[in-house]
Amino acid sequence: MRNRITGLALFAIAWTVMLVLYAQQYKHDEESRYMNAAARELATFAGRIPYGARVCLQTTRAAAADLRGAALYALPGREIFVGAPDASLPDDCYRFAAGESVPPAAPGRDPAPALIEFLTIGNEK
Amino acid sequence: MINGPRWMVLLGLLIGAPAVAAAAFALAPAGSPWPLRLALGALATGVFFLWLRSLRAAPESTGLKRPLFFAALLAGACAPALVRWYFDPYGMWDGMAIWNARARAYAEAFSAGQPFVWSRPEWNHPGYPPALPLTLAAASLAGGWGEWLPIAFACALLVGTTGLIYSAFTVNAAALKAWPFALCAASLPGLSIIASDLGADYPLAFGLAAACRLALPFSDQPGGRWNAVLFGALCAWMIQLKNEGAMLALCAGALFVMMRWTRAELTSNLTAGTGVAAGFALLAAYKAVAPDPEAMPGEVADFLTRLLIPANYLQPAAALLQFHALHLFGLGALLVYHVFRNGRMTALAPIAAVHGAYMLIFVVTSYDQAWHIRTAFNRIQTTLWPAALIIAGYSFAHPQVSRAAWLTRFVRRSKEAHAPETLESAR
Repeated sequence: MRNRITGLALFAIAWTVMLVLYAQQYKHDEESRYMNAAARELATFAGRIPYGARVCLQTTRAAAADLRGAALYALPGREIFVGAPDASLPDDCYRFAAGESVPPAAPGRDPAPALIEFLTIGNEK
Repeated sequence: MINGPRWMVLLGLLIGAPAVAAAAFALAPAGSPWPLRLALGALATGVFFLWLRSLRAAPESTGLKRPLFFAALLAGACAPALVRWYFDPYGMWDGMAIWNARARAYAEAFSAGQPFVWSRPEWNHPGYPPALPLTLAAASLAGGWGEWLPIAFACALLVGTTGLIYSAFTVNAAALKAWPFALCAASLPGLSIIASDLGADYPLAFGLAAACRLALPFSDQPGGRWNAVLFGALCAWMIQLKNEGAMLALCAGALFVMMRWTRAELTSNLTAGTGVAAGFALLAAYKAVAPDPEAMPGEVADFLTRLLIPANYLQPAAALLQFHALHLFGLGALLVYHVFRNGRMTALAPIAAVHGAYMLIFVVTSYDQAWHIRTAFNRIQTTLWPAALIIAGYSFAHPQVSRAAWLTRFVRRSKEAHAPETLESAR
């Protein structure tokens, strides 16, 4: 019995050390951190953006792919545009809303309303 | 407690019911109203549960009951994932943008009674197989989509995988002696973390572990036709889960056939093979209609050329060493040693082959090699770990006479055979 308790105690110590090592690694996983924060923020807008609407997003962070991923999850069924972090975003958004370089409204679905949401997500600290 | 044939029922509950419901839902006549689709899904699920009842006719388990061991395994296996979900409830990039984004889009299309349309398919690999998103979407029919849904599914799989490992190490007293190894190996944070990613890797790991549990002739294995049917269904499910699932299904299929290479088991082998073939047929049908079905862009000739460049092996080899040292903390070598000592290396061969084949993916990759290794190497290699543990459990529970032990016995018998002569000559 004593051996078993000692074994379990040693295991618990080793396991805690491993967990701390992993926690350190994931603490620096900026991609997941950012995506989760962006998805949480986007979810607060989801209620007022109709299904099929065109949404323009902008990020000041270099990796726009992370914002795309978060938007795909948090705003399903919306046509999403993610602009590069520069001043040309509004023009791109208007072109996007005018139907340039985007697929036509899906069959069986109402045409996308002429609504553009400008959201700026994930500003760097 | 989860043991013996009961874990087969657990498998059915986890995979079968949602998968059957989703398939029925998706196969309903186009344009039919959603209540009809829902009724069809419910009917298919009902039939599936009736079939599950027949599994209860299998002989009861002779396994040992160790609730404390199960609780320790469960705590060790789940805690890192629970901690990570507290901070990142949506998982990592693939989980969020590929699998759960599509699951949520399917769910919204189903509940709105509208056909599913791709939103920005160029962003999230639409060619990836659809089983996980469909399963989650089918589960969402009960109460709508919630961010808890992928987490709940991952938790169910964590419990299921832990149950499988527990059942392999409590088959008999010989296997239970290895409980410290099982506890350490099942509690590796790397394994739990891939569950918390909320992608398709952990479901795949669970599928392979379950397939190995069914393929190996454990003493509590009910065997028979339904065992082969469930095995075939699991392989078909794995093929629909992820592109790597095809390789894993072939690996599990090889194990199944290796363990049953007799004339009497021909029907079982054919039944299991039918499941694997059906999985491939479904995948081919899906790839035919999905946009961008390629798993990795590039020409076959380019892949072969990369195989011939020695420098391409350096980074994957370094990643492999790092994986064993820092991800498995050397337990992989310990596992191989024990399986070898127990004379069951044949059972480990298919998993070892996939371990090597996975490395080759990173040798021939058309992506930036360093990026590909950093983002995928540990994740996809870890999917093999629960299955390797099931095989280790089998080797502890049912050891064969190893070569070393056979030699020892031979030497002892030779001495015994010569002993009388020696005594006589001594007289």
